[in-house]
Amino acid sequence: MVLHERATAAIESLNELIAAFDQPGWEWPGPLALDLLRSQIDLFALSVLLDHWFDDAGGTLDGAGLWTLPPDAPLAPVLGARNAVIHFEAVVLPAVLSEPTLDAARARFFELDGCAIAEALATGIAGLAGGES
Amino acid sequence: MSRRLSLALLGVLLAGAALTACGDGAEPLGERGPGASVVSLDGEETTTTTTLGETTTTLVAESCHAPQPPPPDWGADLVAAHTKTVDVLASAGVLEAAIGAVSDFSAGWPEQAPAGAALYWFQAKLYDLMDHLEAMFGDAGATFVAPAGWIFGGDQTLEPLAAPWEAVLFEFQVVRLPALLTAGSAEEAQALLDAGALCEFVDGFSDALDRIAAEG
Repeated sequence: MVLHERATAAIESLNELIAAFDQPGWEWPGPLALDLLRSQIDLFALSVLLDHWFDDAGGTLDGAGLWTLPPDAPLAPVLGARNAVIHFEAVVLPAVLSEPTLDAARARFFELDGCAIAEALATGIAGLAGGES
Repeated sequence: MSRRLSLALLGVLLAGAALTACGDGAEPLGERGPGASVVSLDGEETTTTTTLGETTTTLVAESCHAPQPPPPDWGADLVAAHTKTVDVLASAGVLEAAIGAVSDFSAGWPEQAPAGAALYWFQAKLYDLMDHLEAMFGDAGATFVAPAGWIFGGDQTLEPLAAPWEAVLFEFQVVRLPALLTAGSAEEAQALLDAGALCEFVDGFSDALDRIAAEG
């Protein structure tokens, strides 16, 4: 249930962030900052929960912050989503936030496939619920 | 895009019943697990748990400073804010050391070892603190109005923490940290760290907690 709640919160806030990027005329980065913060809080709340579960499942964490799981681990469907968090945090967001205007930031966000995390989360959690591995 | 996400979200919602079997014993962000860290209040060492049962000792960045120990009359929420601030301080030290150990600053370096894991835990700790403070402000009757920031009513106790919270929101996460993570050389990254890219913001929380303690 906690996974469901946190995943839903993370997906919804990421969707709001993506929608905010799609809304023209906003001052950059002011009003978007709160959307960014909320999406990050929700994303990390989910991600740290997954970290605990991966750890319990016998996973290993490397120096880049990426998990490897045993082949039969039931949490495998969300592994990609969790591991994508670092790329989003370390590469996508810094590049987007370094752009001088909202238009440039929006273009950069989609160019770097910033939506991939939300899609990976949604697909991963749905796959987990469906018993896929 | 939105249709795919909507369908996927529907899948998540449908997943609820199956996921209840997993229980709801999850702990708040940052309380245990890999990367959980503590820092001594009277020294500069931090012990970081990298995986369960394994620990490493790392020096906290010299330029950061920890808050004074919490007064005995503080409530649980303020003590938790203190603990989470110390966690952020410790993870900032780990991140600073990790960036100092990066040898290749070509594109994508922040997601490679050794910076990747350190960045992840620094951000996890920072967002945990931000979330906790936001909840505390709300419980105290404060309201957030952009771009003015937090407005406190009768109880001003937590007001000193508003400025560092807003600095993270409006400057650190959107300006200073992206600049650090897009640095193209060790010299550039070190110059940003020396200018307080990480510690300046953590120090803001430490100073605010000390002020709250002093004002009783």
